[in-house]
Amino acid sequence: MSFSPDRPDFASRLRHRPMRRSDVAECMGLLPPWLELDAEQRSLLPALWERLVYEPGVVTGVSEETALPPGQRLQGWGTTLVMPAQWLHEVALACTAQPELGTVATRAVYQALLDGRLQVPSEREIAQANAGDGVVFLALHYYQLRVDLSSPYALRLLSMANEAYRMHHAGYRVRAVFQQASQADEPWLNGAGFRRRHAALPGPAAMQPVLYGVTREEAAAMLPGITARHVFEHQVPRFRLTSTQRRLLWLALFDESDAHLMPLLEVSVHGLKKLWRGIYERIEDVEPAFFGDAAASEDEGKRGPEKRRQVLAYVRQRPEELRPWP
Amino acid sequence: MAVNPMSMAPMAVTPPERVPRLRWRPTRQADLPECMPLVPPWLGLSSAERAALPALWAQIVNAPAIYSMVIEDLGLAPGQRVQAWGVAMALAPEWVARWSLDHRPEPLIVARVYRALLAGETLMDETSFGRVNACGELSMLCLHYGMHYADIEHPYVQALIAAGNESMRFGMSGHQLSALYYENAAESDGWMRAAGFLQRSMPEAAPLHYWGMSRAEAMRTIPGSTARQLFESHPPRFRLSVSQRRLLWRALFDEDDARLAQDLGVSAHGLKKLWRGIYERVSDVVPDFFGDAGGEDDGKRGPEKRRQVLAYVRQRPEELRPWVGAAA
Repeated sequence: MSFSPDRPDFASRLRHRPMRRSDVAECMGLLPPWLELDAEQRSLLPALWERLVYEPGVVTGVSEETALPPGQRLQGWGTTLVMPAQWLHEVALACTAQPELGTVATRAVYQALLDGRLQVPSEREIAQANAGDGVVFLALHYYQLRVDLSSPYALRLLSMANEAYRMHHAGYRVRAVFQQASQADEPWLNGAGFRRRHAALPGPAAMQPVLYGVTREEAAAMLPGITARHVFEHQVPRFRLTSTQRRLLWLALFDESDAHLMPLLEVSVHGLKKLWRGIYERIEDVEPAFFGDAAASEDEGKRGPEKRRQVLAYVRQRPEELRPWP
Repeated sequence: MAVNPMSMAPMAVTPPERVPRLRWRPTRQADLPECMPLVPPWLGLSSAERAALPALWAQIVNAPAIYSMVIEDLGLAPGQRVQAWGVAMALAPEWVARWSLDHRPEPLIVARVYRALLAGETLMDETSFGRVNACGELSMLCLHYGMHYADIEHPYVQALIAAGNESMRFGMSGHQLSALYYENAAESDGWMRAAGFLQRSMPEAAPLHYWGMSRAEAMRTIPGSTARQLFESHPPRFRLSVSQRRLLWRALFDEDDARLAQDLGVSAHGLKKLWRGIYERVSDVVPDFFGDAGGEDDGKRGPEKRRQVLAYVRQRPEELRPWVGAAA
């Protein structure tokens, strides 16, 4: 990297957003060194991520420095999988007694995804978990280009990562959240409220993977304020939107233009309008007074932007509407 | 009926069992009657001072130096929705020195602040605020956060505290803060600590506890907590006018144009002019900001441009804050 973000004259313009398929190449430069995948696994990751990036069971976001030229902007990448319920008991809780299970959690997941033993859960499976005992999240890794926490820019990135994590994981009924990171990462994981699940193996701290996490029972003993606790806030959704409607709303929360939304959702202009109309109709069915005066007109072209704002205002603070629910 | 130690409102032992539909937003004049019962009883105000608060708040609720957010439960009927109210005030260095906020202040700080305001002292205006902000000498005093219920074990109350944290992170971020101060009842120690505030010393037997965070402490703290988050700052890039910033701040809550025009005291035409001014200013500073949406047909491209500007300022809140000094 040639830029010096800690120089006083560098005007940082960081923002976070969901990862896109076009980010995959840049993200491959943001795999943490402790992951220690072999050359073959590493060579297969771009294709794996191109397949996974828009899966409902994958929660993934990037921090980008918009003050830099396109293609060099990504400064941080974090990625989470919704895990099968049995993984909680077989790995995440068992690793306290068997640390080796925790140390290889992410590597084992990547290998299982690559050889087909692990399938990312479908919408329906996530919905069932969400409405049942809750989803189990495993953050496979978070890595940022600047890791020295004495650098103000590294702290800025970390701060942005916390904001992104809160937004991306909110609205689910969460059973437990886990995060694989290195032993050297423990200060920032503790800062976000995560606890170590097992003893670290001997070796350099920066290269020793450790599983961190918080269960629902542990979160219940914490008060709101910190990142890990925040994602356990949950209510039952009210509007029960379809999968495509939820996806549109999620992407629209990042204020993407219609031109950007259409290819991401693989719909035409007409299809996009139809999706928005479907959302308004569903909301009015559940709550006829939701739009107030804006509902008086059926002219979507005129009233659409007003209704869209009202819906986005609601779901921005009520993210359960964006998550799968049966 | 018991009385909530964190507000003067009579309370049931626990909140009613209902699915909360909480959301937070800036306080409006029309909210004030619902907010007044959420002023905590422990502030140390006399009955006469308390009686004068509605008129005082009617004057200051939209002042630039005041941050005031309500948390409402949309599942309740209008007029009964406000479940929590949090307020903070931007302070010039003189006020920090006057009340010894960086040392060992006498208890009941907020009562003294209210008394000063009731006696006619004025809050910082936009220009002074902008100047203090630009040189990194701005401090914030959290005046109070009151809820109708005090049983913090209850999920509804925890949801209110979580929303309080979110509203604070969003509502008060984007300043070059020098320090945060917060005097609160001892019953709130748990959530003050969870939000990342550091306890300060006060004279022994003080009825309240005193909390805070300085910039130096924040920079030594790993990000994650609410208090730490408020110290993230950058100089603004666009240097928007007071009205433009005010419009963007309100628009971040996705309010419709009719409500925005009413809140800002402008006509529909005036509102369009304000938006156009923002787009022009942004384009002047970053000519390719709008990309393909940069056409001149505002009627057609306006909503797209609005989305792009809001997307930017939502994550770059320094653009919304007063700033009088060198541009970034």
